[in-house]
Amino acid sequence: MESVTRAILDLWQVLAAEPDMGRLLTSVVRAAEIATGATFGEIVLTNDSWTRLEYQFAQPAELALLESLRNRLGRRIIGVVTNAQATLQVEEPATPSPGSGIPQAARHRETMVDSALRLPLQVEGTHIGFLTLFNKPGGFSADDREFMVTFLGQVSTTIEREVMRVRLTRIETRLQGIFEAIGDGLLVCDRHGKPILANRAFRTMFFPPGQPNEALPAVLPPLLENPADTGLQEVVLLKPHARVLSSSFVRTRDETGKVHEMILSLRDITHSKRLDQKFLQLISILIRRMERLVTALGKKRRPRTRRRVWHRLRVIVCNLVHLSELKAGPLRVDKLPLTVREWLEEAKPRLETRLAKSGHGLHWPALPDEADEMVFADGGALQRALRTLVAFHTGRLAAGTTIDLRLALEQGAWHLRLITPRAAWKSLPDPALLDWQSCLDRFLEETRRGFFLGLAFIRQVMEAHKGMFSCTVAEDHVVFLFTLPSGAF
Amino acid sequence: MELERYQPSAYPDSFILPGKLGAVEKVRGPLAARLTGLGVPQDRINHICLALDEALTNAVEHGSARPEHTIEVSYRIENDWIEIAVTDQGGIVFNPEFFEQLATIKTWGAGGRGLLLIRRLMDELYFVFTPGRATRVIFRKRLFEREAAATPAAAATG
Repeated sequence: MESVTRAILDLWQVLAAEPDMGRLLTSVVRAAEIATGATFGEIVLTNDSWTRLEYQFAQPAELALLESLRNRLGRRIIGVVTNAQATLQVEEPATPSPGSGIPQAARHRETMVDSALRLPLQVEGTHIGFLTLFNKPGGFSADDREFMVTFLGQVSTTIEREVMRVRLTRIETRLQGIFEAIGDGLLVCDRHGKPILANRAFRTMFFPPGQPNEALPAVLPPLLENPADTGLQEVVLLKPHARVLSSSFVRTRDETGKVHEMILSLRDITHSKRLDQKFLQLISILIRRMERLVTALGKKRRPRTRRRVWHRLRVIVCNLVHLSELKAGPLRVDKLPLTVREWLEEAKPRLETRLAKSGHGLHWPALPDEADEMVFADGGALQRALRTLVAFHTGRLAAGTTIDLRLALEQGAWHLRLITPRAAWKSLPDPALLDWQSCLDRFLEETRRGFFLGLAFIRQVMEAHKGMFSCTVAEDHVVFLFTLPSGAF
Repeated sequence: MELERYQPSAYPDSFILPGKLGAVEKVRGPLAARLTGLGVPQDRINHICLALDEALTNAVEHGSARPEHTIEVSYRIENDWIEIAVTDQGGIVFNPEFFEQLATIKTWGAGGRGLLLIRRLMDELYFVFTPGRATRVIFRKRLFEREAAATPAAAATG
């Protein structure tokens, strides 16, 4: 076969299959040399052309390094491609040779340049460099130029195609990354409902490690059957997954209206559902209890029995009020100027009456002078907190027990302690009662039949004042401690 | 993960029933006979039928508000597993976990324990709610003990 034809055929093969831009351009130079009869040729890629073509997969850091090198050298780095290799070279300092049109690189060959054919190389409408052929015996003709223009047009098209491919690969990689990173589970099914693509979140939802299951085939038919092209559904993978998923779907169609694919997006709403469920359960139980008590109230005639039923109703209502406050988040308190003495003195009569009724005593302390200093607090809320705590004591302490109340200003905060002998408690208070979530869990798990949110509510009141509330069960006594910052809290 | 392995379930046996309690027996009998024929232990057949009863009762009670509402029961037996799907047209969305857990502590009424029972008796349990349109409960159970190497069901169903 004629060498020119072979060279052209080889080049087309390379253009069709060679992803490496350096090797591709090397073949272009070789084919151009053979096709025109030039002694040698080269492509010089100016400015950033080389990095744009050769370093298509380069990271920004690598390109920045090249840029920095260029700045340090004070000269540009250009790409030089011959028929054997593609390299980066530092551009030669400009030499005054006006009109020569011969790239500097050719001067390294120590060859006399008799003739040259120089053609611009363009990619996507941007000039990226030149292909220059040197020393054709007898010189280059107009036919050579015409042939090379057509030839380079084909090369440009190939380079553009390759650049486009690389760009699409990048976009695909990026989209795949996004697809995998999305927290919602995504599943793509073909027109027949066959799953073809799922992201990491979806796999985690449906295929928990160590729990082989057939949830996906089981739930797919009803998910795919929906006649609408968009919609919402809910999926509960109860066993073995214990997951609640909110599902939305989109059915895509081609231009003829035929179903193309179906994309399902699933969000794990297990946690929020469980929280809602916990409250629903609790409220359902408490309301039922209230209904029973109200019915009983209508039937009871003896005042004492009626009072008892009323009391039980009141406890439930109190718990519901506390629950609504606790669930709503931080408690809103109306802080006004107040002294600690006012707080305690105003609470004292009702506490004493209450304790006297239940046969308990209260040792009231002598208040220090600092108790007259002004603080900002919600006096009503603090009094309610104290009354609730005392009521908690009266129901659980042996008759005749005295609560020792102590007040002290320690480390910039008021410390009010209610101290009782450990032995006086019928059942010891559990510090876990201060955590309302724990109260709910324990009640719903039926480990405790009683339900009391009073202590948790006191804690919320104190926290709203930037204070604290704690319970300590020591070896011989039990201490409830209110901590309230002094000054303008 | 080989996604291709997970094709949507296809049910060769399917029944459309009216939304009445009397319809339950129409499926229960033939299904029990089929399982007996496959040599499935009687206690497993009882469990499957009980779960089916509960699912159908729920579909009738809660998913068939209008007289024209029907219930679809489908099942397939494959590789020693049975998969049953009960679909009603109620389209009411609920959280099965809620009712199941409530059933363990509530002291009023007789109902609410069906889901708990199905969960205990079955190996897998799923729900798909299409609001206002349909509710499907799907449960799966292994027909034989894991150790059984060659079972009549495997031979019969390939």
